[in-house]
Amino acid sequence: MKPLSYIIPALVCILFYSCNPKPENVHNNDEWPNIFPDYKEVTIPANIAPLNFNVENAEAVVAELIGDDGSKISAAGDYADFDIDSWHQLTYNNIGKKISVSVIAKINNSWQKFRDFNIFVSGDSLNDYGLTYRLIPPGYQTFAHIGIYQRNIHNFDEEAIVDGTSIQGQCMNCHVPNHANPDEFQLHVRGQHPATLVRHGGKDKLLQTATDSTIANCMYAYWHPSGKYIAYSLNLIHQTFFEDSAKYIEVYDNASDALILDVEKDQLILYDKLMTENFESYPVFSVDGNSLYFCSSKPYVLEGRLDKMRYSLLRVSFDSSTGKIGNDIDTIINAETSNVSITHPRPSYDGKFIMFSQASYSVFPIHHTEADLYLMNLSDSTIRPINEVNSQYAESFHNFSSNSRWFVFNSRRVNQINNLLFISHIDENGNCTKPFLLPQKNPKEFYDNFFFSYNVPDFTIRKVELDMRQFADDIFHKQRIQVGTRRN
Amino acid sequence: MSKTNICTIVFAVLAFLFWGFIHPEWLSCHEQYQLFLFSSDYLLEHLALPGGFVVWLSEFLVQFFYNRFLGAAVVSIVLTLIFVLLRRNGNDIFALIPSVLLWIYSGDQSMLFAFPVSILTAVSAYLLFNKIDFKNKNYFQFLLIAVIYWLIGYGAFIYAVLVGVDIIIKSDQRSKNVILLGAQLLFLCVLILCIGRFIIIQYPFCDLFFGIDYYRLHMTTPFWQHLIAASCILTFVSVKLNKILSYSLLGVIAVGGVWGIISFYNFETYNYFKIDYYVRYQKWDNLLNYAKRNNLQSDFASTGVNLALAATGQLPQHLFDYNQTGSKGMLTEFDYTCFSCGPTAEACYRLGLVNSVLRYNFDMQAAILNCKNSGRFFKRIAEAYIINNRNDVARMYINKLKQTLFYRSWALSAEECLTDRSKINSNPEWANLVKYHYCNGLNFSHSHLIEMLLILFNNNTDNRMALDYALSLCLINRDLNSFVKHFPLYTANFGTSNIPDIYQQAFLFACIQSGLSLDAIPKFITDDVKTLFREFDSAYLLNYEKAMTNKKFSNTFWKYYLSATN
Repeated sequence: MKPLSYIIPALVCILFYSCNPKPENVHNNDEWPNIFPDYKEVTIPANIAPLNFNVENAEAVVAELIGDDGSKISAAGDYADFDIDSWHQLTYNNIGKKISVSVIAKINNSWQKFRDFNIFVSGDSLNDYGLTYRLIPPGYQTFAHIGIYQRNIHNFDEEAIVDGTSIQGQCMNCHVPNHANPDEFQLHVRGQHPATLVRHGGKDKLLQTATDSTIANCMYAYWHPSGKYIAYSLNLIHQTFFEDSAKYIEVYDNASDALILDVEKDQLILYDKLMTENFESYPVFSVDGNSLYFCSSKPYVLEGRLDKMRYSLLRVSFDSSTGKIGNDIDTIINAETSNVSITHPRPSYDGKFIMFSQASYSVFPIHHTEADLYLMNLSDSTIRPINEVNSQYAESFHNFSSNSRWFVFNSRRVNQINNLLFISHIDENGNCTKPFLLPQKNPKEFYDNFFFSYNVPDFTIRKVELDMRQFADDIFHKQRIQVGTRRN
Repeated sequence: MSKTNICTIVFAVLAFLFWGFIHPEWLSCHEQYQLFLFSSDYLLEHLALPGGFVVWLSEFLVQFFYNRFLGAAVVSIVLTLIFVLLRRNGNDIFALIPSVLLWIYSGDQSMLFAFPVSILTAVSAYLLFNKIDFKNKNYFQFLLIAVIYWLIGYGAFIYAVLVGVDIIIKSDQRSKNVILLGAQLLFLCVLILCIGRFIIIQYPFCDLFFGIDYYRLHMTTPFWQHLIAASCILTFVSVKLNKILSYSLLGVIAVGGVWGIISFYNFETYNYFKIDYYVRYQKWDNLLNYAKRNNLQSDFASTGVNLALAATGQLPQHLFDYNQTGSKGMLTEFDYTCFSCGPTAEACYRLGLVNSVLRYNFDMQAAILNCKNSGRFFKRIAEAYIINNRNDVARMYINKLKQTLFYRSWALSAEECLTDRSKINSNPEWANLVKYHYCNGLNFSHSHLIEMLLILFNNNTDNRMALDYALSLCLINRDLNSFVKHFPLYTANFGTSNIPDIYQQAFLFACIQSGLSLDAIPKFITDDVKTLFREFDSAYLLNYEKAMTNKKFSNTFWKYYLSATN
């Protein structure tokens, strides 16, 4: 062997060692370290990407993680940056146990050892590939920078499913898979070339969903478990703006209906009961496909009373063999009596819970600081705020993992402007754990330079495969299938 | 000095004068839709894309457009360098054509400066390749073409053709070298297809072939781009021209150039950019002179003019010296383009409508089709967040601006306010805006502008611009009832001496319309205004047409009011 083959690795080792901070004269600090993101005492799935973190105002950080099984890993540098393989080895070795995190940081030229904290590794797996979401920059009427992305949650890889580089100047929204399965999904493109892409039965088709019998294009979507239907709401969305430091905008509907798309026949099924003078929105199927939940409000906005727009949670039976809904509509939560607005209902795929957003009013809770997540236990109809995850800022746009043991949601708690993604564990009894912010390689650097908001997040069991170029070509050139209508 | 050198100097000076004095707004438009950062991440981000280096280089140069003289010098140098370098092929006159065509094509606002820079780098690479001599140089070309493609994108075609044609012309084995050139171009095409298939999967193939960020609209490559690229090959034409033919050709290029430039820098488009430029750099007198000279009539221009009048404290005095287009001419609404609300956003800023400043700047930022950030918008967004006391978010924008050349000093001084809010008071503009900003759920509505402006004024009576805008809007809308209703706010706060003539005219007119005689008009209406009204009234009764065209009355409220009601 040539001498160089020894010298170069030796030099690299020396360089690495000399670059790593070495704590000296360490003082004990009884407080927990001020880390970003706040990963103290969170519960994680074993295969999540490393929870790298920064220590506020620290010039250097040394972090050591010791599992209950005795195995350990460490990281040293400007921030705690763990090797992915070592991290996963540690977390897998400690499934159902905890990992103790010891942090020593150099702050104002003084090394301090903080109180240790724990990270709990759940016994429940999160085997989904990752998350899909829309990234949307601050803005209210233009869409040049919008894209729909997917993130591998086992590492830090993010890639575009479709974005402004492939279909420039078009708005994209609501990528909705069927129960986290990317074999069936839909997404809308709005702008000069509107279409709804529906992937079903191994084929993609572009639908034109506006018809003479309906008030708007199809909007908020939810798949029937059979894949034969998609429940939609049609919303005439408006925005009003405020000159208030705390509240910038209110988004509301001037009209809305709910209906169901028969995916195989490309027909919208119209129901008088879902297209009333009231505003129906956010329809979702129950996990067995035999019921349709939706939200509904009296049209107070037409009288100028936006503040009275409170949405009740209703349910109607659904027969998937005929596409018919039942005659009786059950009121699950009455907004009029409870003085709250229920939106974004999402059933867990194990059929045990419905999670929803609750705000004092409004159909769009994302801009309401008081908006929180609530959980309804379907076995006894009890409802409770999910205090384990709620903050004093808006929580919304939640969704369950395919095994229903984890959920992702939007929260503005970090800087009150950007909606960021948090993941939390939920057990079979509906108990949740402290959520953790979506991990990033260098979280502080990433989020400090991140001007976007996450929007409509969902889990995906596999990577979404979409030929962006073909899709762009179809969007600009392909004839849409005009959906028909039928009454039921 | 040779005639060619004189020609070069004249070209450079003309280019400098053109962008420095005639169309500085072109520079501003390019500079404000990008944000060059001095950071390794920013460079690496660019190097990850084919042609990214040239885009990075062009953005580096475009940042100097912040100052119009530096910007004009940069553009002039780039165009002149292309001319000077292409002259080395031997044909001085034909070497001028690509630069002249570029000058014309630059009038298309979607053309990005990366295109001229890519031509410059392609030509430079070609000349460098000619200088260096080594064995099997022509076969080394394949590797070089691949590298150059990754660095400058579409310019690699120009480079390959320049090198190939040069070799063909100079060599004895022409057919062999033609095949070699063909093979190189084929190689480049296959390379791009492979890159598009396996590496850069999100970009349309046409962008990979013809340049990402050479043109702001994706999937669009104007014919001009190919024409200019092809014109570089013209420089190989080695025809000896006699003096007359040379001068004639030069004349044709000059006349064609002027015609092309006038066509591409068309007034209909550029008057918008000009207004926006004057607003951005607060050149209020220039704006007013420009609007008057060109008799501008659009909501956008009116918004700029009214802002300029307000900023110089002349709004009520000279409101009707300029064309007014109704309430939309006070605060133009956003029309989905990245420049459509510059004057409106600026007016909102000065009025203290801080959230609207954010909204308009966010929307303009999000309307930049090639997804770049804007230094101008970032700065205003940061300011709005500072005024809103959202320091954590303001810091995100300030941190970006700290990495720039021209916004850095501003960012550093703004950063001080984040840690010490009392320092806001050392900036009189911000100190006022903190006071003006109304934080009690004020609903922004274009259809209720007057009410909104009055709330702002009542919140802080130092905010005179809000009251002037409200009263002016009443007059522009020819809504005398509202004017009379709200006018007492003016007299109560600013007294009855020195009331602007336009307000006096409107109030007097309202009194007359309500049946009062001139003698019973309140005393704060000056004799001059009364006399002018008498004259107008007589002229109007005598001959409507004459009265309305009489210069003496051209700037009066009466003329404005009656010109629509008759």
